[in-house]
Amino acid sequence: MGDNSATWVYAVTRDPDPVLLRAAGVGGEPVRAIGDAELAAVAGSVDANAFGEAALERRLSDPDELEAIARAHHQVIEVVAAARPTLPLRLATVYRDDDRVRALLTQRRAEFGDMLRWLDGRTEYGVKVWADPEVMTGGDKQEQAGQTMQVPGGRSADVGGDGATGRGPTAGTAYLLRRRANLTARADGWQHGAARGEEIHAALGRLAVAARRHAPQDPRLTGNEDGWMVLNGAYLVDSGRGQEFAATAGAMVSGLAGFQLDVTGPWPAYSFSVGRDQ
Amino acid sequence: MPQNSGGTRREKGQNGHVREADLADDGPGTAEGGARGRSYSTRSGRERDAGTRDAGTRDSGTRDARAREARAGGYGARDPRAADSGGAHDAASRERARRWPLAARQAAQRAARQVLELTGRQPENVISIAKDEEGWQVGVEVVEMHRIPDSADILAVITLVSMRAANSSPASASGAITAAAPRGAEMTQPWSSAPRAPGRPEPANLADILERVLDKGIVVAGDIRVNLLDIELLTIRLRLLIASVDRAREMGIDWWEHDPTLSSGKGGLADENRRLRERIGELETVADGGGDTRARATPANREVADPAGRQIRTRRSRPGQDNDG
Repeated sequence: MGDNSATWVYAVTRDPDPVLLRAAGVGGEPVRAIGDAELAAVAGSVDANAFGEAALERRLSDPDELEAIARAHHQVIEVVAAARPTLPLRLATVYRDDDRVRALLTQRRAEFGDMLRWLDGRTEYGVKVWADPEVMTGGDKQEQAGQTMQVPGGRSADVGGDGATGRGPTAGTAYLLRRRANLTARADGWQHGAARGEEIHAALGRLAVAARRHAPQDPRLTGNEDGWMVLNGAYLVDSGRGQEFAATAGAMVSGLAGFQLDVTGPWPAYSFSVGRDQ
Repeated sequence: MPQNSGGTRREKGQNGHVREADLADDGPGTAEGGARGRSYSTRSGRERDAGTRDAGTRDSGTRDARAREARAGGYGARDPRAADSGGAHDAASRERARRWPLAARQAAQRAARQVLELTGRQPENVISIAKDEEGWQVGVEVVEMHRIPDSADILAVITLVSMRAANSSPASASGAITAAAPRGAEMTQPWSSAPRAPGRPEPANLADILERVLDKGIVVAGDIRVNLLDIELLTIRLRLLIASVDRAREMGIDWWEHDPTLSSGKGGLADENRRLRERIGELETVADGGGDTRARATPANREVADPAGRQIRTRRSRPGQDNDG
């Protein structure tokens, strides 16, 4: 460990050595274990200049670099988690040297041990459900109706101002009415979709050891730009029951018109490494 | 010009402009036309950019449009490092500014303040923030015109462009555009109620990974600290710009309307927006306290006086819906 090196920590696990040989870290460095067989940190030595505070902040602000670093970080965790109970550490957990990591393990040994025991034999699945706005809001029919919506007699003069064309609402009035109809339909549709999302989450939660909801992802991040993400959940499932879980989720959603499902996993237990009670 | 109205901002106590409640007001239409023209030229530039996959030949139309916005906006004329005139930055953010030219949150705050100075209108929301090789682009929403009912308020989105290249090389930024472009197309599937076969999942997509590595996992206090909150905000926005700028533009500019994170009042981005709004409020208080002689511009003369990249926000439910209006 020279002056120019820092220790990047990926995860905390048990007895990690045999599984680490395949993984390369965020700086391309070999990954190694710090600690003992009972509790060890998976870590790598990175260039302190390239991964120092200022450099890191700059690099993580660059989308290419962020993607590369995030994927490398994730990959190490994934390799370890495939074979051992694993607590993933949040991206960019960097220590000055290995001794600081050992101090961390000593200090939080009991807590980490408990969590690893809890996660042992379990894995995380992600479930995203999208609602199709057109189906939720009643589809094209409603939209067409909105465009030809008539203003109730007597109100057009009040609302439309100088629109004395004698052929129904002025363009502005018609537009506002259409807007209002659309907004109402969207609000109702969203509520309908969100309610189904809640139900699916509750049902899947009963199959899982633990369940969490994440904030919905932005439509343009997911590539599914036309849908409302009504559920972005994470579920901790006993390892042997992953297929069953995914199949159940599929069956649940296929019974609903206008919903689309995406099951991801098995994941390292990212979403359940924040403490089991919260 | 129905495209022009249609904000849904609720502005309690500020909706007294009865005389302006003419529903057929075409005033903002000209601004809309101008904004659209630029918007389209920018998009076509981007499309060609992505199409040729050539990092070296950025479309000149794009550059022109950007340059125009930047010049007009005046935002880029400021040195982001300079101790700002508002003087309301705390020591921490000043420290950050010194170390790293402009972080996402600061860019947003500055942009909001600039909007206030330029237009005399209070910024409602910072609705987008993105960085490319030429610097930051920050979209700030203002109420262009209060109406009764207030759901008919006209909102404008002012895009401020910082010309300062914020430590990112053109090559890497353009590379990101080409690398990321196909992702959206690949993943878009036709609607169906049939689930995808579960089975062994494909390689995790970046959104899922970032969601987890940036926001989940054990948090321990490392020796080197990076504010991931900034990064998260920034990442989302960057990805949005890079991954699907073409498709987004085709959609219209109203994606945030059906972004539950933004519209539901809970969730990280909504919180971020709230914090930014509060911050802007503080900044404005400071500015107003300092003997403000700024005239409150009328809409008419601001069309001339405020040449910042401006798009009238239409908040359409669906693209193309209003085209017959």
